[in-house]
Amino acid sequence: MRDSPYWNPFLETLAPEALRALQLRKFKAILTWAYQRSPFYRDLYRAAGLEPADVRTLEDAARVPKVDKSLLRSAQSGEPFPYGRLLAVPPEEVVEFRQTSGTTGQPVYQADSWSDWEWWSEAWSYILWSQGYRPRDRVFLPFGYNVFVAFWAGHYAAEKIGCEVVPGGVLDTAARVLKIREVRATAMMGTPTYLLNMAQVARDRLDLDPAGLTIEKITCAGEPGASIPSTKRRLEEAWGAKVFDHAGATEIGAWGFECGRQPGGLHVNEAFFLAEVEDLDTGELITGPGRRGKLIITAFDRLAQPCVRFDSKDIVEWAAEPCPCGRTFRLVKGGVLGRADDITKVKGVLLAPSAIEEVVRGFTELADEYEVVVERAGEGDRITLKVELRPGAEAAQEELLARLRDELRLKTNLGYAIEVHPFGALPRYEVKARRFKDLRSRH
Amino acid sequence: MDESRISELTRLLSALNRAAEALARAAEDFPALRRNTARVKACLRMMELNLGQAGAAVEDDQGRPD
Repeated sequence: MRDSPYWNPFLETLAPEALRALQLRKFKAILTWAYQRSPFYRDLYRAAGLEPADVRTLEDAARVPKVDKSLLRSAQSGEPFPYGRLLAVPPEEVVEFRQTSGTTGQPVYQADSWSDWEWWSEAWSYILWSQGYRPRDRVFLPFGYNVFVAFWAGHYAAEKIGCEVVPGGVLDTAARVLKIREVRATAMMGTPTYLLNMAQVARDRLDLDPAGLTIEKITCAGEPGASIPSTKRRLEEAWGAKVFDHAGATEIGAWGFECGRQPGGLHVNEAFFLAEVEDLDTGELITGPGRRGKLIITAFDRLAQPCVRFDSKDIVEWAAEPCPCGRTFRLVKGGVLGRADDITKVKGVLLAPSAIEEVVRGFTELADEYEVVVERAGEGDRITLKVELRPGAEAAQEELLARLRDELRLKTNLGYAIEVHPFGALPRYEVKARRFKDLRSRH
Repeated sequence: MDESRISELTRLLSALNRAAEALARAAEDFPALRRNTARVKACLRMMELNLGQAGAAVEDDQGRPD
């Protein structure tokens, strides 16, 4: 049997004009579905004076009111419990419950029908196939299977592709490393933070070089690290594997993926999602490269709890060139570049935490963990970067810190107080890290 | 991929869909068949999406569990 480089050789190479025509048909369909079936969306659109038939072109999509996490959350306060007026199917058709982490407040509950759950794994199949997952792979999932969607769909997509899936659910980190060795897993999925932590545990506690194991490819999610070059390099060196990024969210689905060519960006799965990029200040749509904006995204085929023009808060920028892989799905350059709600002004300068990560992870003398604390200091702000030195790097500490300060100033236009902590002293994270702490509102 | 190939795949898929519909109707009092048919219909819907069929979302039958 001939092996296609594409999960879907039809849609992934569709001519751009045909792809846009498909997107318009699908956008109209989900808009009509949401209007007819979800009381929340119907009220939202009626209040804006919008009927689904008003959308005749893809540009018209921008007239449809956006939703965001807080709006979805408030729509869930009523009946039917716990999804409220968002629900677009009878409650008995819901077969899967998931929820957001709730780090920005009360979590959003996510209802999925059986069709939606198939759709989740279908979207992930595009991701994994593009990254080289094939039936011969044995895929290890070192994550706690729970109410967060995380890698659940990755599990089922790997199954759908025909891989053998090894769930590493309740094992501790060392046991997971040993299980990878025992079963000779060839691929795995995790957050960049956790996979770096796993590699460290392998070296420190098991005296085992993770690069010597059988892992060939790794799919990351949950944090932008796998698209940050210095973090990707650390992961690839640590595991001796190719590392790929993917982007998605509980409310949206798995909308973006880095293909096997590692083009320095993520493809948007434009057969399943409409991605609009909006200027942060003016709200104007950005359709070409060269300007960053906020991603507004629609899932075309998610039915139980539709996601139409969701303000993801993800900062992205369209790439100038198509990917050499041949997919016509457009690329966002550098993946998710930050979060609109993470970008903060410090000393009057806009700061994206990912820029600090890129600098810190570029210094091989520094360990994987770091922390950033922003505080009020008199009339101004103080920003402290806490780092750990790798064992053996202590002798050149002063020279290293001078270089680190210079690089941080160059890349972020800010001066930092740098604290060096003993190796292993900073917190280690199992899933998503919380390294950026803005304490200014507490003063 | 040429249009005639997509048309042929779509035709085959439609036949499967009709068979699944007939099975679902015939198995209304047979939970083991009815529920498994619901899952089959969800898979069929994924195939429709993969062939670029749009607008299915506003039709009554979405291959959802009944």
